[in-house]
Amino acid sequence: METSWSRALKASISDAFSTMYFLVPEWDPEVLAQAEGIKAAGWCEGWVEISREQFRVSLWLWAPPMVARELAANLLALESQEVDEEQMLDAYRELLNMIGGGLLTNVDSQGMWRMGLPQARLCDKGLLKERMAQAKELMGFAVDERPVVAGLGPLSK
Amino acid sequence: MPLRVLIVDDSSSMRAVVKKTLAAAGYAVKTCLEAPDGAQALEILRQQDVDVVLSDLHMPNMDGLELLRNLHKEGKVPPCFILVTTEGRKDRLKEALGLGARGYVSKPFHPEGLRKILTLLVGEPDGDQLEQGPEGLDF
Repeated sequence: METSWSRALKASISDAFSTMYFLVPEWDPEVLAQAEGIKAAGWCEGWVEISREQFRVSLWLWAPPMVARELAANLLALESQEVDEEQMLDAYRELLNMIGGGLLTNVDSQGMWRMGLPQARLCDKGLLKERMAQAKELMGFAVDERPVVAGLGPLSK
Repeated sequence: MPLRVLIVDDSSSMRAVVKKTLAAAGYAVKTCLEAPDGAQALEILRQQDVDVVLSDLHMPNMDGLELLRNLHKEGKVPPCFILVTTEGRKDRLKEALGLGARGYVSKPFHPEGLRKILTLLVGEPDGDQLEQGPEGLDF
């Protein structure tokens, strides 16, 4: 069942990707099954914690290297090959920041939740499904036919 | 008149985007300083005057609201302090506007959104600066 948080997350992802990163993510549930068998090495993994008193929610985003590089290139108006790793991770953290901010704007009209500082890294080993297991609620997107996965962690303490 | 600008954001990508947006909008920039957090921005603003500050709210070490509180306390809020932020909490935005921020742009933003608020507060890019911009601009 789709929760208000997952609906808001979809909207926020769509807004952040398309407004400043010039890529259009299309929600595609089949991406999740495809992503399970993919090796995580080189994928970009980003997360940000959202908290309210004793409650913690982690927002996750996984993207393949080409998409992560293209996101940074589009934001910075550079060619993909000109983007270095630090620029890629910085642009990815900022994307998480925008997605998290948009999510809270949609679900938290009372201003009860606090967002932490986004983190990002490149995965080095294992399968993507092992990384995805950190989230409770997953959603898949196709970005120009390439998979991107978002997730939300526990929604209770 | 060319502007003296300070861009405050922990993301170097966002600082670059804001800088490019200023240039693309046609603003002549005399000095463009950058700071990755409020603490460094405060040090810069204690030492030199700028015409425009474009600052994030959500940053490590010292966030944008704490920066504004310090500047307000010291009587050093620059004439045009604009927030460029993902912050959606009305209470925090209201406090920022009460401390001297002149307006805000929500991230993600279209370049047009930033250009529009600059035009209102600073004047057209040809240097036709407004003597008094609208207080607490909120769009």
